[in-house]
Amino acid sequence: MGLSIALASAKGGVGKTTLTVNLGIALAKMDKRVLLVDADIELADMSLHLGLGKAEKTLHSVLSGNASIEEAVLPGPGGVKVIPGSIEINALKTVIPEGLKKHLRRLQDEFDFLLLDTPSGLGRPALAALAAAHGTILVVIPEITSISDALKTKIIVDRLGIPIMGAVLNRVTPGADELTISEIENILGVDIIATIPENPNFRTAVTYENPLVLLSPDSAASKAIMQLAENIGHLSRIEGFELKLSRASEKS
Amino acid sequence: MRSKRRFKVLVVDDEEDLRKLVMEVLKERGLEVYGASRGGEALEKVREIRPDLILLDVMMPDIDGWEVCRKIKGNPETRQIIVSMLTVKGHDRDKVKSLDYAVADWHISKPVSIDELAKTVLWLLGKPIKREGRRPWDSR
Ligand SMILES: Nc1ncnc2c1ncn2[C@@H]1O[C@H](COP(=O)(O)OP(=O)(O)O)[C@@H](O)[C@H]1O
Ligand SMILES: [Mg+2]
Repeated sequence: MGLSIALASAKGGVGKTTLTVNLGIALAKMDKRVLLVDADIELADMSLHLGLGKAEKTLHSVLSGNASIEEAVLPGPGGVKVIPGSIEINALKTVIPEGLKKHLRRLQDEFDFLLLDTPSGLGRPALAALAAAHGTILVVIPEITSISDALKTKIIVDRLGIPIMGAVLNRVTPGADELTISEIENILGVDIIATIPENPNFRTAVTYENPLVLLSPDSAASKAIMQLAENIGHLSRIEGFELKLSRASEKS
Repeated sequence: MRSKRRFKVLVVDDEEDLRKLVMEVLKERGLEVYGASRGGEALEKVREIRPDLILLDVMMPDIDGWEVCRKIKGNPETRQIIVSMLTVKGHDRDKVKSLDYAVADWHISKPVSIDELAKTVLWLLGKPIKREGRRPWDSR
């Protein structure tokens, strides 16, 4: 059985989608079978990161009963498989977000890792996405609003009884006057399992529709994501997942 | 750049022993320290002293610390003061209340080692925290 992981944070723009696609490709580079799921059903933009164009069958089709989940799986870059979302506003009307967990279960044996890009906020779509995964990775940036929003996500995930595997600290500028890793760990009560540096090429990568780990694999940011993938890749996929990941070593 | 002036810290806690201990330790770290044992007294001292940083207990007999912080952060004259809650209320929802409702800059849960506390205070004083334009008067 594969392990499904939701990348989550109530705050938008912190890098959930960016990390989901890059982490997925990094895991695929390690010969893991990876499925990326665009569970951000309100603002599905994973296709843009991956250059998939407009898909005929999407997660929206599945969640509104118009397609089976198997039909919605597309090949993506770097060997990953993808279930894209629909970018049409109307597609949301007939969707039942809570169906996600049940549908995903059908695909669990075909993959080692199912990574769910989740919506910002704490609404119904966010809850349904969080509830569909075995574990959660929080995505934060070194700003207070990101930390307080991540705490809110943590409260909800705890209530759902889903383990939090750790937090990724994204957009770190070395040497800047920012919250430090240990300060963030203290207030969040969650280990930081990776720090990803600020890199303007993440944005360029979206323009080229080619994720950074493929576009620029030697960049520090890509290497940090590869390291995170190795950390996650060690998790046993058979039974009794040990969802605890090792901490990122504190730098500077 | 850090100024030569000594930083002023106001320690607000109704537990006298704890307040004195914290004040003592911060004084040893070269800070100018003041104390208050009630919410109302804290607000008076804030006007008088203009501290750079406040360590603020939550549960106090008169006004609770979260309300005190909201007042400080809601006043244009005092909102630049760095406030960290220092409280036994350490659930995630309490932390969210500190950061979101009270608009505190930080939240430290008791018990905390005295060294750790001093370190955090110096860190808060030395490193302006990005608040991304969020202001107390922005409703969320
Ligand atoms: N480490 C980083 N350095 C620089 N820009 C980043 C980084 N991570 C993400 N970004 C940029 O931040 C923006 C928001 O990222 P996105 O993944 O869409 O966030 P979310 O999915 O959490 O809303 C995008 O423009 C993305 O390119
Ligand atoms: Mg996103």
